[in-house]
Amino acid sequence: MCAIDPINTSMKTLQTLFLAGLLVSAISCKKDNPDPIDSFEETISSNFTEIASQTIDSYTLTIYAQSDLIVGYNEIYMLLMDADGSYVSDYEVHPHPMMEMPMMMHATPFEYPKVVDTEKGFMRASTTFIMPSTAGDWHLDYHVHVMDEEYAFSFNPTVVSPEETRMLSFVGPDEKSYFLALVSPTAPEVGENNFEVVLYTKLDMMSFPAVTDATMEIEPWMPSMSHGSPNNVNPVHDELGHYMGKVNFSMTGHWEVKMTIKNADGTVLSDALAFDITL
Amino acid sequence: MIKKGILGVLLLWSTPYFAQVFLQIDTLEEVVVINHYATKSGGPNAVQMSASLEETLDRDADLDLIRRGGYAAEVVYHGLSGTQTNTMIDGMRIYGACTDKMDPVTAYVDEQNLHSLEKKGSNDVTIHSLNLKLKRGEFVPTSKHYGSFYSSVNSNNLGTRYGGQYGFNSMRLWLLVNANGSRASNYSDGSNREVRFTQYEKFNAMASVGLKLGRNEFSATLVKDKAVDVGYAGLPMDVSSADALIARFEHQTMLGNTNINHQVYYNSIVHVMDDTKRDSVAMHMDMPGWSETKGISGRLNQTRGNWLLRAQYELVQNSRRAEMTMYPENEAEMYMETWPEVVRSFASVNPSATYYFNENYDILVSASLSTGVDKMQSPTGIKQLEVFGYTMPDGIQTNAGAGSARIRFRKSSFEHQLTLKAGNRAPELSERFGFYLYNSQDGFDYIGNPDLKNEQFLHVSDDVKFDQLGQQFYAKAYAYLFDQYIFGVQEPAYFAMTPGGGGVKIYENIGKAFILGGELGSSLFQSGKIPTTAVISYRYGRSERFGYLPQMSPLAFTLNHTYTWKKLQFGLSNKWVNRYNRASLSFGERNAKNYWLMDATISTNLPLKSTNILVELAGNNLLNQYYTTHLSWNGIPLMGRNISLMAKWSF
Repeated sequence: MCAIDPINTSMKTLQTLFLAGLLVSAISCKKDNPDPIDSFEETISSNFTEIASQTIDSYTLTIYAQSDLIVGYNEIYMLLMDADGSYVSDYEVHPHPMMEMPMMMHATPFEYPKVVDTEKGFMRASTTFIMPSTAGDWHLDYHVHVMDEEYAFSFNPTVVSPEETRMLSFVGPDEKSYFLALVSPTAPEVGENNFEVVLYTKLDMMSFPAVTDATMEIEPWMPSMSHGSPNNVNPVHDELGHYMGKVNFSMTGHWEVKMTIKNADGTVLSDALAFDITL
Repeated sequence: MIKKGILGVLLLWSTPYFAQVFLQIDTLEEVVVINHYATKSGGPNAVQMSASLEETLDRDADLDLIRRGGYAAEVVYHGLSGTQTNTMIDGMRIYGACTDKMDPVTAYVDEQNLHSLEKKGSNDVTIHSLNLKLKRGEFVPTSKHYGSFYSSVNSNNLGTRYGGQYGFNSMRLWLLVNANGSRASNYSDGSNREVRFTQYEKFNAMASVGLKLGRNEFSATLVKDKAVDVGYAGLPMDVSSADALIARFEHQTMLGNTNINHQVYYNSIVHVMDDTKRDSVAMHMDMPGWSETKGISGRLNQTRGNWLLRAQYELVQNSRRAEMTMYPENEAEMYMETWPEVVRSFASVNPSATYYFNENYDILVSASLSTGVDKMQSPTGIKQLEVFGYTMPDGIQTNAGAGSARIRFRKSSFEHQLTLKAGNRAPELSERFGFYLYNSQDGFDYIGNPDLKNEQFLHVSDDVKFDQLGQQFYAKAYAYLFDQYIFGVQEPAYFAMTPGGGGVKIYENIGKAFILGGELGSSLFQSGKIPTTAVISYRYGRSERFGYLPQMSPLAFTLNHTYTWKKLQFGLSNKWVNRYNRASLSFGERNAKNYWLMDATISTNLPLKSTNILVELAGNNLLNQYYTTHLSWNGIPLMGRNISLMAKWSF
């Protein structure tokens, strides 16, 4: 009851989560916890996994995620601390994710960090890794601008393939490559779930812009029973390549969410996409 | 066929003890005597003394049985659905725990537990109620022990029944215990083919004690019933165990001329389905269900001048849930709640008054009001309903009401009564919250609708009876008119959940519907050599939107004779039922051919010192007809010729 599960919470509501989280812990945990005011650090550590931390000169950048980094869409959070151990609230970050393979290098889709907590300078970014670390080395470089200086932080995180695929790639009839990653649900439940995906295309090895004008259809399906579920809402574009809809699961078990994606002209880019989601 | 309490009243009308005795006549409704071992009188129901409860109910022209296998037939009153008729055990509310109606209430008692069946019309919110009255002891001036043992065997399904009873009656204390068992293999139909999955095994025990302290009478009753390995030929699944515990404590007293009766009761049912015996199942499933009911009810009866006043109240809480877990090969198991746990709590009151204008005319006016709330306890259930776009409020109000009036005219051998009842009923749990309840007959998954409105009904019944020199004739005609009739309507946009299912139906209020029916009956030569009864019955029902209503029995004709020769008693029963060509296709019914059933019995009583041995040889379906009735689920054929032998020793 006291646990706050940020995984359920979409990006948009994260800010609310913090406030609500503190509030909920303050109110509902009163009985169990004699010290009701969790510190900021405790909130962070109980809700996020620290991925890596690096110190350059007097600045330390720590990055967090909601779990291990996976092939697919990952929200990545960061905090910058100065030599005194206080949080830096005014800084800018330019991510440069890069995959280094024996014969080549390529980037991967990402989103610029946005401030979640102004006072502490807590930022949220996202990176959609399109392959696991077994294919090569991921370099997650962040160029941090603070006090007119630039610091190049570089991390070398491990990206694993999740148990159920959360990113699909395909080549459309326009011969472009597309990357479709599942943002939500991360903890699917029986009943109505937010269904959110993000769609990118590849212009070249270094450029993966968001596709903002596609139309999508979804159909949840239980392959072992050959039935679907009613009253789903097809995802529509919200911003930055994010498409939001609703998916209904009428029971636990293994579901497929089949997807059809069309471009702005109505040309089918793919109708053979499906995410496996097991409740 | 019909034993009316009122006949007793009629005889006692002129006696000074009228008021006293009147109060002991609990109800003015029709009563069918069930326990034939206890009654030695003739009459059409007593053609076969070893008849099981289901066989007895089946002989009643008002009742039909839905058969899904060899056991646990569901009683249908005048073609009304189970939700339109309320079946109780001795005034106790009890609700089956199976989403697929595999456990009608009648399955949780044995005929040995029962005294009689009351068919009540006036004093309930539902259109009709069937009350299975339990046997009880008596307070008598001289103490008496009694008891019996019986056993019977069937040729057709190698079925056996056995049981024993012991009772003790005295001034201040009575005791009654009985234990009964029965088991049967698959039966064979009229073409001598074995009908697989019609086997069953059942054990039942009842203990009851009564104590009298001054004007106060107390009694406590416990019934335990367990059926195992029950086949359901008409369904894709069987039942591995259906278990019921029924407990009741009762208090009764007289305050002046007011009879006061209260009871507190509890019952609990656990029902477990089983698909492991079937040859091919797409996927193994577990489908258990639970139902638990607690209740307090009471009634007051008072005579005041020419008035008979009566008030009843009830406080009931029923909690039910059923779930389904499916195990696909190499995949995650799937889980859903077919009945998400819901607690239905309600209170009802039922005042009624009968006024006797004179010896010829009386009028009964009765009202029933019930108010309550359905609360969903299961978070999963609330989530499941989200899928269909329903948001569950904290509780759904469950109110219902009914009012009835009956005018009766009696003069010497003539009796005429006109009954009018109007009211509405709240949706049943399945209709409101059911989640993919598979109806194997129409092949659809049914989904409840929390937004359903109450079903409205108007019931009119006209009964005429004429009795002259032991020849009795009666005629009754009845009509039921419904509005907001609750029925499953196909929703083409939804997927069937059950593999191979035809689709999804959602319960909706579909508008108007009606049932018309009637019975003509006679009871002849009751004091002659060959007492005979004959009954013709027919029912017809239609709905505005979906054609014929289901469960309407076609024209049926029953003729019963009994005959006594020396120490032997003979019984002969013939039942002819016309073809059923008005199947409700939207309910998945199928037409049925006409059939003729002939049953015969020979019985004798052999006195043994101060005890008695009753032996009965009975033959059912002697013509070995291959037949299905309009209520044979998925058209399963019923039992072919069966010879049974029963012996009962009683003291």
